[in-house]
Amino acid sequence: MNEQISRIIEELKALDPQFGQYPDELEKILLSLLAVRPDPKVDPEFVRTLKSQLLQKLSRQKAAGFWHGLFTKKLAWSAAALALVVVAAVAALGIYSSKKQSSALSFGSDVRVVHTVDGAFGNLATLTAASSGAQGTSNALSMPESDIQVNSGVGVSSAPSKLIAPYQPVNYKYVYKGDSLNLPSSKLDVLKKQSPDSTALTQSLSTLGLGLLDLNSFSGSKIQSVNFSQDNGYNLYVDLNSGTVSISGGFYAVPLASDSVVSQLCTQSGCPGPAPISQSDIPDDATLISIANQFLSDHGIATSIYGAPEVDDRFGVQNETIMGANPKTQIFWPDNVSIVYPFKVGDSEVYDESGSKTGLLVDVDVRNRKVSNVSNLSTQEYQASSYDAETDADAIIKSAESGGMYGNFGGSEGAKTVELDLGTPVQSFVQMWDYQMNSSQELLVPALIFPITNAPTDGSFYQKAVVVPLISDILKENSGPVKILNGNSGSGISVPPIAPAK
Amino acid sequence: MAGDSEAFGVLYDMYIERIYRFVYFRTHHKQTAEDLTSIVFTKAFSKFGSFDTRVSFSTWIFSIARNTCIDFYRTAKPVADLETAPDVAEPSNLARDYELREKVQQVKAYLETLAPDQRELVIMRLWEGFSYDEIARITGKKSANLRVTFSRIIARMQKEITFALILFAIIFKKYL
Repeated sequence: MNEQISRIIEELKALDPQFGQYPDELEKILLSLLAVRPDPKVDPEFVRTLKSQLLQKLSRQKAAGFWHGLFTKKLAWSAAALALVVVAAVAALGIYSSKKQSSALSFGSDVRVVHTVDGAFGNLATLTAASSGAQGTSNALSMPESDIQVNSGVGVSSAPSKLIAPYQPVNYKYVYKGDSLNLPSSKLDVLKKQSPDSTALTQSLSTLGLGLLDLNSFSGSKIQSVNFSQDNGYNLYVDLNSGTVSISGGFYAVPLASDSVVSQLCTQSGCPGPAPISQSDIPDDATLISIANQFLSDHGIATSIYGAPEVDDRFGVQNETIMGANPKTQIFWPDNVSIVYPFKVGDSEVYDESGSKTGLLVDVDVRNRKVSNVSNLSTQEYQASSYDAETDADAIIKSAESGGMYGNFGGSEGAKTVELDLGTPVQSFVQMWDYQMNSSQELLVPALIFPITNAPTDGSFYQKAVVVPLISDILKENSGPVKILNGNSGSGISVPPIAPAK
Repeated sequence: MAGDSEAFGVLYDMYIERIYRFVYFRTHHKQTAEDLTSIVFTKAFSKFGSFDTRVSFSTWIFSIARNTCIDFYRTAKPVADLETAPDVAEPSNLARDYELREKVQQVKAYLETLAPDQRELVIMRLWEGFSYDEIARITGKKSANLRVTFSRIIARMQKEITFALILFAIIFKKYL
């Protein structure tokens, strides 16, 4: 007899002994009740989709404290009337939403990955590397001295060219010298960053109307960005489309002379700029990181989801090399030094296609010893979808020896060749962008990071690793020699090893 | 926070099918069951942070599911009922048992005659296998009352269906 039926019969008999008179009949009654039970099968696709949606919502709900945290920071907001109304309205909504634990705005402060169906992001062959995108750390593969002055404020000044070391073309040849590759599974997850949902916030704000117009008449409109301004302090730009927040310092440089001297100089020979930064003005790495950490801590920006901060010291290597070669060389040291807090997914740090770690960027103003800029502060919510992985180890090594995603711009005749050894790779993610209809979406693509184990230390070469994507379609698209189009003929030509300007 | 996600994910996997069936037994309509299941889990996760771990998660989420179904019937016309449901199980495994097959047809009709709370009790005790104590916690009723109610339903059923079968047998023999 069915165990459940037996138990029920025993329960019935315990309650009323008369049930024991016709046990067979009772059993059939109960069996017939069981027999009419429907046997619905839940649709697996429904189960997956609902789970994905719920976990995303859960992460957003947990992040509802974002606005509350933002507005409790005693910032003196600018007094423009309309801006104040908007800010006050948004603030009120933010605080309200945090108390209500609703998902009015969804900026997460931790990393969340929700799986969806395979191949959900379409064809990945058209993805663009991060350096071509809106974000990502800049990094030159090989930046000869002659280029430095036009690329950025980092490096040599526009001093007489005779002081600049002559450019010596170099061809780089990558050679894999690591262990045999241990490739991961044939399917790997690609992660697509999820944007926060501002619909509820937009709707709430629309109902306020602001007294100036009927916002509801603009149906389908959404809040795309919000600006905050602190008097003589910081500006905040919240981009709800990309889920990023940027902070920039609005404070002034430390004056170098008294006002009277400055005004006198201004009338005589134009206004002088601040005195150049010298090497001794640059704080050591520990101090720079301490300043950055303190700022992030003061403003409630979680650092636990990032890797250990690293100071971008490329300028230092460059300048010291130049000074070593010619101590009289006039050099500009940067006003701002960048610190990168690498994005992390699990234990893997995220790289750009040049092999540099990419993540939250904090610039420290070395004059004021204050944080001047924060960028790439963004939501870390991803949707994961499986794609076919490359399983041919030879194809991967071949790609690595061709420079991986960054390519190899070498090929000058008569130039000396420097062999770069590639060590055993580690699996991580590379940041890429999917451009469609004038908008871009960030994706993290599984990749092998091949460390360059003998990178030149003469200050002319910055690349630390070669990145090879592991997704088959992307690898095929990124294989082959780098071609640079000639503006006149449109044909591919070989060029000396000069990195493209960022 | 990540822990909450993981915990919720595990619980979701454990309960999604049971909740879906629970809702389906009360709606007999796939799309409605999916919609209501979505609502149940959405409600559950929105209150997940305040979930009192001293209470059984099972009791908690089935209470939400039950209330969701009640709300649905209060505000919407049921899309199907037990009798018209196309996928009420056919007792194919009982095909050789003529008497039981006949009983099944009568049981379907009999269930329709029960009051909603009685039918719910039968479904929860027999179809879903809840104990009386669990049903009591989910429905807010007393376990002892549920036992008595269930025994009365079965007793009445035993009488009515047995009588119907005897009547059927008499009529059947008359025409042989």
